Amino acid sequence: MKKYIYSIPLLIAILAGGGSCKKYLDVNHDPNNPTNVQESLILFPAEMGLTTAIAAGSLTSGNFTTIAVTDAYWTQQLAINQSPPQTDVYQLRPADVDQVFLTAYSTGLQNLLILDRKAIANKNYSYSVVAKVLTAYTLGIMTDHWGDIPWSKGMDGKLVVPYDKQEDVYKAMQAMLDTAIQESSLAPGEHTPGTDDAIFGGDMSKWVKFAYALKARYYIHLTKAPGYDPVAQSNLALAAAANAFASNNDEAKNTVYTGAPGQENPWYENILPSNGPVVMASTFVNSLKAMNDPRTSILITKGSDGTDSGRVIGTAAATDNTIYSVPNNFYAGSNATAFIFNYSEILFIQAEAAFRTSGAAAAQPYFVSGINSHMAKLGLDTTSAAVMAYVASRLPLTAGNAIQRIMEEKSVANFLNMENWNDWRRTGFPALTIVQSHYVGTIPRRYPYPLQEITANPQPQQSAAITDRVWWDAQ
Amino acid sequence: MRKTLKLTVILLLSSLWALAQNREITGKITDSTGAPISGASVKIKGIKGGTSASADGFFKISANPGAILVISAVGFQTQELPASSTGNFIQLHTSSSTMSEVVVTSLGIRREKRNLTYSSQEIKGESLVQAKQENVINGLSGKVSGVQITNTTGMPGSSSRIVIRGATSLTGENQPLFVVDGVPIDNQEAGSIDAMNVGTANAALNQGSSSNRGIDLDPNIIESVTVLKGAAATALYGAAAARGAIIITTKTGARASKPQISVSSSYSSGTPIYYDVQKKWAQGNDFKYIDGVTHKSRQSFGPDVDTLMVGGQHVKTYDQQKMFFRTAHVTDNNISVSGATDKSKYLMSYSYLRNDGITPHTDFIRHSVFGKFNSQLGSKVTSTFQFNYINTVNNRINEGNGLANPLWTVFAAPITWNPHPDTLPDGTQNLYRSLARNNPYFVLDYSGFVSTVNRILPTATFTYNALPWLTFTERIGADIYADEATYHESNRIINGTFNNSGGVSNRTQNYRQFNNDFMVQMHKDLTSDLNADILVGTNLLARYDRFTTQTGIGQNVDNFYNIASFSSINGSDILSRYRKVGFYAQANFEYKKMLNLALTGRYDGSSVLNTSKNYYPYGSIAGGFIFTELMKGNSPLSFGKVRVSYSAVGNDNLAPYSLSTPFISANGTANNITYPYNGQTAYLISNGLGNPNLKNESLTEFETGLELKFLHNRLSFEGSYFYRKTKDLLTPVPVGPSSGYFTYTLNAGSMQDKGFELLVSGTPIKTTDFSWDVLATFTRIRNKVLELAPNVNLIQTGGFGGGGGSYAFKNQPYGVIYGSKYARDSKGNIIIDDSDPTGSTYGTPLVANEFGIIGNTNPDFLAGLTNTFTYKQFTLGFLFDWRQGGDIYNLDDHYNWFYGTPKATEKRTPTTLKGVLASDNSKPNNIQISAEQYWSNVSNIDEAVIEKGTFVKLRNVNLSYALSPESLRKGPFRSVVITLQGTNLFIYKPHYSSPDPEASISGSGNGQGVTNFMTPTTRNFIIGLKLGL
Repeated sequence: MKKYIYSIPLLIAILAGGGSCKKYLDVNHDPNNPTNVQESLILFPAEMGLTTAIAAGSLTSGNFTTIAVTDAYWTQQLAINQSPPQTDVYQLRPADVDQVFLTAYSTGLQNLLILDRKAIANKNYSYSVVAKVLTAYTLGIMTDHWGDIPWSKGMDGKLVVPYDKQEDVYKAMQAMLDTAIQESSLAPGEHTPGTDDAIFGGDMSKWVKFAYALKARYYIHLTKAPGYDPVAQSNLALAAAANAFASNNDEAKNTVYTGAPGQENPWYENILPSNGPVVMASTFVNSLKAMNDPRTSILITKGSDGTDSGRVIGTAAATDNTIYSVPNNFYAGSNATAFIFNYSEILFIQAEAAFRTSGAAAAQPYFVSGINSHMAKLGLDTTSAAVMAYVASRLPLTAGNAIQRIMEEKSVANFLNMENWNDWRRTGFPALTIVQSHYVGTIPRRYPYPLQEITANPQPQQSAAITDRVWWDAQ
Repeated sequence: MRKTLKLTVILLLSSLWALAQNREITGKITDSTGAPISGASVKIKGIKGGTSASADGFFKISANPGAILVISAVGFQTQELPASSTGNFIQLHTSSSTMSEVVVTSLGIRREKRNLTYSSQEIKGESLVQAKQENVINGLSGKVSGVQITNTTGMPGSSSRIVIRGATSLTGENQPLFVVDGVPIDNQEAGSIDAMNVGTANAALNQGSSSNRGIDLDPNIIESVTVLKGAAATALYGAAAARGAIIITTKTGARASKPQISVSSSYSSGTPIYYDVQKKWAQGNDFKYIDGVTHKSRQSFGPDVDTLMVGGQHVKTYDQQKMFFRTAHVTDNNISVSGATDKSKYLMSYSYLRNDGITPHTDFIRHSVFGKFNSQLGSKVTSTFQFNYINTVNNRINEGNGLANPLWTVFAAPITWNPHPDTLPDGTQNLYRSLARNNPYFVLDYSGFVSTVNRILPTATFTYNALPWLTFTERIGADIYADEATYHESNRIINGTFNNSGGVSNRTQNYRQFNNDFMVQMHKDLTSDLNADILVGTNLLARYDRFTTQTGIGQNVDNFYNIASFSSINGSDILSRYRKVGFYAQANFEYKKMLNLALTGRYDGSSVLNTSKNYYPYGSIAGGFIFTELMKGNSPLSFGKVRVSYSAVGNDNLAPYSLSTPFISANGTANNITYPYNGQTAYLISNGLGNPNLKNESLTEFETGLELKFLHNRLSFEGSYFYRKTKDLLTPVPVGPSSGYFTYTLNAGSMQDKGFELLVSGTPIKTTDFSWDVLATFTRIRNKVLELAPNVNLIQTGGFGGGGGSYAFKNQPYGVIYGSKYARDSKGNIIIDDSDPTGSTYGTPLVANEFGIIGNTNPDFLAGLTNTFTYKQFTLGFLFDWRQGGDIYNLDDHYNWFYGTPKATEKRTPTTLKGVLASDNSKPNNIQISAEQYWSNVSNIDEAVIEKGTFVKLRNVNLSYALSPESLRKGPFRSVVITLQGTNLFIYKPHYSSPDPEASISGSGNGQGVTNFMTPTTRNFIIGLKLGL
């Protein structure tokens, strides 16, 4: 009997332990991260992410493959000074675009959806307008590069996500922009964007103009889409463009990069010698030189030998990358503005649409305004002899040269903008020749699906090669 | 073999007092030094029962004067003597036979090795001290079977990875539990500071590793280390030890009334094992010289320096490594005092280690103060109080891929470049190539990492011997440390961690872990042939681990790094709390000293799992059969045992807070952008989708082993085979970004490890003056990833995100290398580019479109051989360590081949590669290319830079001379030992071109097999003196 006495303390210990165990183990509440935050805390990093990592293509170190930089390689504005094969000779593999897809879907679309839902629930409609416009902007980038993409069935944590057809994505984008424009007339609610809006500082009228600008862009994208009439698309684009940006002051851009540490412009980051080194490509530099473009010294630096010097893509890497020009401070200074949607683009959309609907003469005023808007933006006097001589050299537009010249000028005004590759695929201008040491047989016309999608969410579209075409890029 | 005995030793059942004709016999049992052996068993031959000695060694037994007393104690030779002859003093001799070897098992319980039903191996503290490794883990290298140990770099304070019986987790912890005197301690590696929010993996890749906290343990205070390998051995520890356990037992005070003072001191001088470079070709391209001053080039494909004349003078050459590295100096000093009074024992120890590494400005300094006090509190209660205070300081320079690593230029600079002075008159760095690298000496002066750790390990143990067969043990222990780490980098460092802005990052880690065990142990002789040991207990563990980081970016005062002087400051604060509760029981039955049956069970609750699934049971069953008990006569086989075990263990290998999907700080989501941004804070939804339904992982293991001893134990053999399988692995698996997330934590994934481990030890020669002892280990483990997650075929564990690196692949061993490979035709020929004669890749191998598996980081086998020769007062020992295979993704080659500095690039004659033409695979390649073209291009292909990591190292040679007792008789010393030693005197690495294949840029983390500009290993010569007073 006595020996059982000794098991009593043990029993007490076990029972006491057992009784309070539930409470003892109840420490799994995350003290580090909130479960809910207000709209303004989401909008700012979503915009900074989109402008830094998507529009200006500066991704976290260790992965230099970004849409904006790759598009600039493939339109031969930029080159990488490394021995081929590199991205500039069309080596783009599924794993290379994992990070881009993550940024677009997780940082971008996922958070914009959360922001939209939260804003609607809280009746803070200014935020829902912003969220929808940015969603349409991001979706456009994704579908233009990948064609069919995850959208209507994605981003709810489901692991298997069938892709939407590109045509449906285009319809969804237009519908979303229409909704945004409608919501902009609702009472803005208790909380409205201000300094947390890095693009327009809370100016809702500019968000509406941005919505119309995107509508115009997406209409004009479908000029050769199967079943779509280029004239009808042009008329739609003209109608939308009329409500879009009316000056350089209206355009969508991120001006909050101060150049202070941790606040540097993404293009400045992109051309740091450790990231590449990314330098100017000879195609673009030679074109500026050939036209004696007065914007040259503002757009690009001179190489170490004092000349405007671009790298011939696909040649052996130069041992000293400073011999090449790089984007200059206006676009790539540490405190430069990052441009998202240029006012000039609206004018060139109008020029193209006018040409398609009414001919070269109707297009020419838009064309001239387009060039001059960019000259003015760069600080050049549009009444100066140099600018006037340049503009004159680009005239007149004729039925034979209109599309080519509109696209050539548009691509300078859209320097480093992803829209250039869309325009090349739609129109073939500015004309490109395949680079040396090319990794695939023709200039790519789409992006590969990311490896992580291929492995974790297998979909039939993923077999596409980068030389295949997206739906609107019909031959 | 073992002088210390604890009162926790199993006691025997109460005696039979009834025999009236008996008289009382008393005595005292001591060891050969005269110290009492408490708990020694006293039995009367042929009669059931007996008694045991009290704490001071006295016993009382009632016996017939003609009876024979059997006196036994664990670790001592059993003595039989007539009851009448037992006057008062019985001296037991320590057992030389390993048959009664006592080993420390789970929860600090000592058991006879012969009764164990699983594989364990004990390493003596002396051999750890002798290994002369600052990191105690490295002291185990080559000595333990079933274990892979990988030191990570030659940097002072380097971390070391230890994995027992192969990987069991895809992305979680794979290293064993560390336990000191029954209390778990932390062995995490905090890593380099992720100042710019690039993720810890990228931070390691770009900045290198830090120390694993096991480095805080001072080998001088360690009595022994027991490696418990399988789940059967560790099931009592529960979840934490599913990966095996390293059981460290500290020294205890000597049983000597006079204080015993021991002093040891050693000095070591180390030189680097150099990276093998070519010393023939100057900076330049196409055999044309570029001076690096007026013109720049990255490459060393210039002319032969022997014939290169500039201005009628030979161009001077520089041995970049010899100039940069210095001789390492290591001093290791220890003083200890120990002794005893009749009721207590004490040990006090102080150690000071200082390692000034081969890279200037790097060092590791450790102060360790240790005290242990054993007291007899009354007749039945004993207590042990111990504490260990450790202070370590580790100064490092970045390693790895980031450009604030001086080795980028030490390994890659042309031999014709003079790196001095490091700064030009205009204040800019002296460089041989255009801005993108740093002068190595400039890096030393303008960047650095320092970690200062203050740690205490207090433990209190109380033992209450309520009855001879019943013992209660209460043990409470803690592990408390703070690690203050700082990384600083000047704004004059080019393209470093802070993107040319300069910065400082201060990280403080506060770690507190409390552990409590309460155990009841019972021993019962059920019959004269069958006895049982029963143990039941509870465990509580609470952990608090908080990282607070403040980063200042934008330097305003040159080479000054107080955070208040920086332009922008941001911070993070990550707290992890973890708790565990466990109930456990163990029963061991021994029948006729021949059959053993062991059962363990444990029921654990964990705070990190779903609250409805956070309790889970597991257990093990094991049996041992000592078949030599059946054998009669004079067989050469003196001992033979077979053992079999099966165990099922649960595991909560999961970070806290993995059940939810919170909003997290947006830092790191937009490259360089840091938040708060001009006062604007920023949160985004986590891209890791939490899973509220997570339950424990499970591991099952089957193990069988054979233990044999021959020729009176002169030769012994121990072999084990194991098969273990894990399933429901808690893994953040990659999901398609279309889900809105990048990872989703799942109970998915399954792996298996199977292998065998062999240990052979023996004494081939033993005479009065001379003996030769041998210990050989062999380990062969095969791992296979059976399942990752639905639709998931690969998970990256190391290397460049999405690029070349180490991965887990379904149906492959854990840790294969995946990356770009040669384009090959259907016959396996390498395809050579012949598309464009003017193109730079003309005549060089094409890269395949798809990545592929190009290596396996797991070794084929591991083996170790220790030889010890003793002749009179001399002892000579040496240790060979052999790793066969284990591929390495060597980024040194990837970069340096391009630069043309490695020895491999020395041959500069044109070459025509073996392969076929891309335009027509039926035509063999006939395009001749220059060496420069070849090395510039081939370095881009990951497959080309995969190297086998096979090595044979002569890790340690030591010669010691102990002064004979006769010569010491007159002096003040008890003992004097002088030692001469060499470490890494020889490294055979036939396939690996960098200094040491035992290296990892990920530190002790999972992404092994990737190396990139790591500090070379040193070869050391050591002189040591040890005095006993």
